[in-house]
Amino acid sequence: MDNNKIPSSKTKLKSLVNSKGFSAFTAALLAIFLGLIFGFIVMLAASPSNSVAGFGTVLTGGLKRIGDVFYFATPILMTGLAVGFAFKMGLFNIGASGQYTMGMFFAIYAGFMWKLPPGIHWIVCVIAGMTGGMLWGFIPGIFKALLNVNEVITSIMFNYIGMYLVDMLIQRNATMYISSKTRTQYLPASAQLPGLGIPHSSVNISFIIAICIAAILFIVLNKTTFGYELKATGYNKYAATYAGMNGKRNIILTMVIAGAMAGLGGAFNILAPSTISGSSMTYEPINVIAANGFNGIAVALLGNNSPIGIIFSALFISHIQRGGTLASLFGYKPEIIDVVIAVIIYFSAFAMLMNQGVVKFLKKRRNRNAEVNKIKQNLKGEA
Amino acid sequence: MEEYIIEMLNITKEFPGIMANDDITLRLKKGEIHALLGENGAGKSTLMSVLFGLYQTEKGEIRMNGKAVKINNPNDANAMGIGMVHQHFKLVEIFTVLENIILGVEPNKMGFLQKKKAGEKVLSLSKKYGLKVDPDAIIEKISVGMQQRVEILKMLYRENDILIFDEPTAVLTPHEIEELMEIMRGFAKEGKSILFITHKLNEIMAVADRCTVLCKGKCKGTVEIKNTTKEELSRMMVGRDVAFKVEKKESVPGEVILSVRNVTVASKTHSNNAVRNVSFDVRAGEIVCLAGIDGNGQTEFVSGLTGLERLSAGNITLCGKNITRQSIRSRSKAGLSHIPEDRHKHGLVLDYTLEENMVLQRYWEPEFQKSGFIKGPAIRKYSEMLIEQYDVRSGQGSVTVVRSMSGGNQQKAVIAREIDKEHKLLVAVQPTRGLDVGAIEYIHKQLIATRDAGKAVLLVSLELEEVMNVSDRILVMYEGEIAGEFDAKTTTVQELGLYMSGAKRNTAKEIQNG
Repeated sequence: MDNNKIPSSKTKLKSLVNSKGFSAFTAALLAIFLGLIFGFIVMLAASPSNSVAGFGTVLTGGLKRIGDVFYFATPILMTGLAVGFAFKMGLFNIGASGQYTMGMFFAIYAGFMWKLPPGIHWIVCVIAGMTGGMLWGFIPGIFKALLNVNEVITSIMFNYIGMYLVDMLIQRNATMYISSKTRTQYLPASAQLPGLGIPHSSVNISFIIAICIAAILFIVLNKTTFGYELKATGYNKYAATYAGMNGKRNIILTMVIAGAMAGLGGAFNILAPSTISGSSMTYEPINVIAANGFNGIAVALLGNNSPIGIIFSALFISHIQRGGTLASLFGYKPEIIDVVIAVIIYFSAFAMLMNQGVVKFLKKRRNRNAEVNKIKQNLKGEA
Repeated sequence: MEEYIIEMLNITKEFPGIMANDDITLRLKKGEIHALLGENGAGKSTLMSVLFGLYQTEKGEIRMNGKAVKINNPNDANAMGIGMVHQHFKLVEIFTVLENIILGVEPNKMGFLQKKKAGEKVLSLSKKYGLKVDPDAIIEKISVGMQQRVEILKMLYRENDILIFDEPTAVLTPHEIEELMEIMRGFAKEGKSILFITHKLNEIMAVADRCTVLCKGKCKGTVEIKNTTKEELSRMMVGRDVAFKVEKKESVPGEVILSVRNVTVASKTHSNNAVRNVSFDVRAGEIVCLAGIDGNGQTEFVSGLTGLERLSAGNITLCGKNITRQSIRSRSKAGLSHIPEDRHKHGLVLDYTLEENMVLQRYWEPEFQKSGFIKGPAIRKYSEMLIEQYDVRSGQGSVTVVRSMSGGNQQKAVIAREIDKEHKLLVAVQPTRGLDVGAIEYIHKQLIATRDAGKAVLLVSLELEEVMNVSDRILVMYEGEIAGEFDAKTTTVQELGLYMSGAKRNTAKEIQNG
C-alpha cells in the first residue's frame, strides 16, 4: 500500500494512462484511424483524381451539416445504448433492429390513430414507441431467463418477426398507408417532435433527450445497486449467483431497458419534423431490416459499451455518413460511398479487439511490475 | 562418472525490482530423492521453470553430468530426460490411460497407430515399478491416485531419468501417499534422480535423502535429512518457529444451529446421486469438519446447503428455520456465510475493485444503499475498516482491482467479508487452498475466533493436518455418504485415512447411535 502513497504529477499521469477508459479511448482512435486509411484506399481505387478532395469531404463534410449530423446520430445513439447496456450484463442484444422497428411502429400508430392536443401528442407517441421496444426486448429476455434460450438466436428471429409484422400491419391500415406511393402518410404535426431551429435540418429535441438518457444510463450503471448487480453479472455470473443476486429478474429487466432504448430510437427517427413544411418522415414497408439497429452494434463497440463513449461514437459515425453523402458531389457513386463508410465503421468495430490488443501491449510491462509487487507484498506479509 | 547428474549453479533470476532466485545452487545426485522445500513465493516454481527452459537466467549455469548445457525451452528439457508430474495433472479426461501415456510420442507405422506395441511397453513398465493401472480405463473414471500413476508412467514411457514431482501428495489419501513413497524409493534404487517439491515436512523426513530449503528467493542451504529435524527445517523455511498445533480452547457446543436431514443431491456428471442421504447437526461454538478425498460429494453437498444447487431430497434447517427451498439471498439473511471453494469463480468479481467486492453480500442493505442508489462513502469506509482489521494487502487499497491482488490477500478479503457479515453459521470450503504457511495460520486463527464468538462453523477440507488441528468434530465423507464420525481429540490420521479411502465404513445407524 505504502509504495503508492506519494502523489506526484507523474503518478497521476500514470494512473490516467493506466485507466481502463484511457486504453478504450486510444483503441477507438486507433480503430478510426485505420478505418479512415482503408476508406481512403477504396476511394483512391475508385477514382484516383478525385480521391483527395472527396476524402476531404468525407472527413469535414459533416461540419457543414452539423444539424443533420445530430439528427442522424440520434437513432444510432439509442440503438448503440440498446446494445451497449445489454452487453454490460454479458448479453448480446443483436435484436436492436426489431426493437427499433417495433418502437417506430408503436410511435406512428399513436401518431395516426390517437387524437391528442399538440404538446402532449408527441410525448405520448415517444412513450408508445418506448413501450413497443420494451415489448420486443422483454420476449427474448423471458426466453433467456426462464428457458435459457440464447438471446442472440431469439433476438435475430425477433428482428424478422418484428419487421414482417410491422410491414403487414402498416400495409393493412388505410389511415397510415398510401399504397400508390408504397409509404406511410404524413404524420399529423402534433405528433412530430419539436425542432431545434437549425435551418435545413430535421434536428429536434430528441437529440437532447437521447443525451440525457445516456447520462441517466451512466448513472444507473455506476451509482445504483441495479447497475452494480448488472455489471457483476456481466463480469462473473457465478459470483453474482453466489452473492444471491436475482439473475432471472436482472436478465429480463436489462433486456426490457435495452429494448426501450432501441424503441425510442425508432420513435425519434420517425417522429422527427421534416424540413419541408406540411410533410413528415415516412416509412416504406419494403421488408428490409432496419440498418440503424445493426449500426448500433458498431456504435456500441466503438464506444466501448459505455453510455458516454456511445454518445461520441454515434456522433462520429453520423458525421462520417454525412460527409460520405456529400462526397457524391465529386462523382463518387453512392455505392462506393457506402463501401467507404462501411469500411470505416467495420474497422471502428474492431475497437474492442484493438482495445484488448492495446491493453495487452500496455499491460505487458505493467503485469511484470504487478507480479513483482505481488511478490513484494508476500515478502512483506511474511516479514 | 560424475556424482551429480544435474547441477544448477548460482542461479539468479531477477524480475524488475525483485530477485526471484538469488544465487541459488541446487545439486541433484544420481539416484537420490532430493526435496525442495519453501513457502509460496519462495522461488521454487521459478527455479523449476529455469530447469524446464521456461525462463532464462541472468547469472548461473546448469550442468548435466558435469557439462554446461543450455535449456531454451521445455522440449530441450524433455530431450535431456527431465520429466515432471505437475500438481494439476495434464491428462485428456476422455482418453484411456494408454492413449494419455503415448500422447505426443505415439508409435506409428506409416501414420497408423501401433497401440499394441505401446500397450506392451506400458504394461511391462507398470509391472516393473508396481504402478498398477488398467491401460484401457478412461481417465475421468479412475481415481486421482490412479491418474497420478498415469502421469508417472508418462515420464517412464519417455524414458526420463530426472523426475520432478510438484506437490504430489496434496490429492492423495494417507495410504496412497505411502504407496507413492514406496514407488519413489524404487525409482531411486533404479538410479533415477528425483526432485520432490513440497511443503509437508513429514514426507520429507520419510522419503528424502537431502533437502534444499528456499526462503524469499535465497537458498538457505542443503541438508542431509538424517542429520536434521522437522523443527530445524521449518525454521529454515519460514525464518521463525511455527506453531504446528493451532492453539485453541476446549469447545463449548451450544444449541443446534444447522440441522441437515437425509440430504440427497444429484450429480451433474453421472447418473448416481453425488450426495446420498446425509444427516448431521452443527452446534453453536463448534467447528465440524467435513473431511474426505476430493470428489466424494463435498462440493455438491455445499452447493445444496448454500442454495447454488437444488436438493433432490432432504431438509435443511438453520436456526430452527427451514431453508430447504429458500433462495441464496434469504439463506444469507437467515445467517449463512459462505467462503466458497473457488474464490475466482464464486467468491470474487475479479474485475471489481476491492471495496466493491467487500460489499458483494451486503450492497443491498440500508447501510450501503438508499432507494437503489449506492452509498459510495459508506462502502469506502466499511472497506477501509475491513482492510485494516483483517490486514488485507493490496496495491491501492480500496480501489485496487481484485484481479491484481495476490491469492492470499484475495482469500483474506473473502474471509473478512464473510466473517464480518452478520451470521450464525460459517461454511468454509477449503479456505486455505493454495496459500502459504503464514496465511494458513492466520485463517485457522480466524476460524477458531469465529467459533469462540459462538458461531457454528462447518469446515470442508481435504488437508488431513488441517482437519486434525482445527476441528472439534470430524465427519468423513465417502462416495456421497457420511462414512464415520470422530472426535478430533481422540482419533488418528490413520483411522481417518481408512474411512476416507472406503476401507472402513459405518452405516448411518451406527453413526447416529454414536
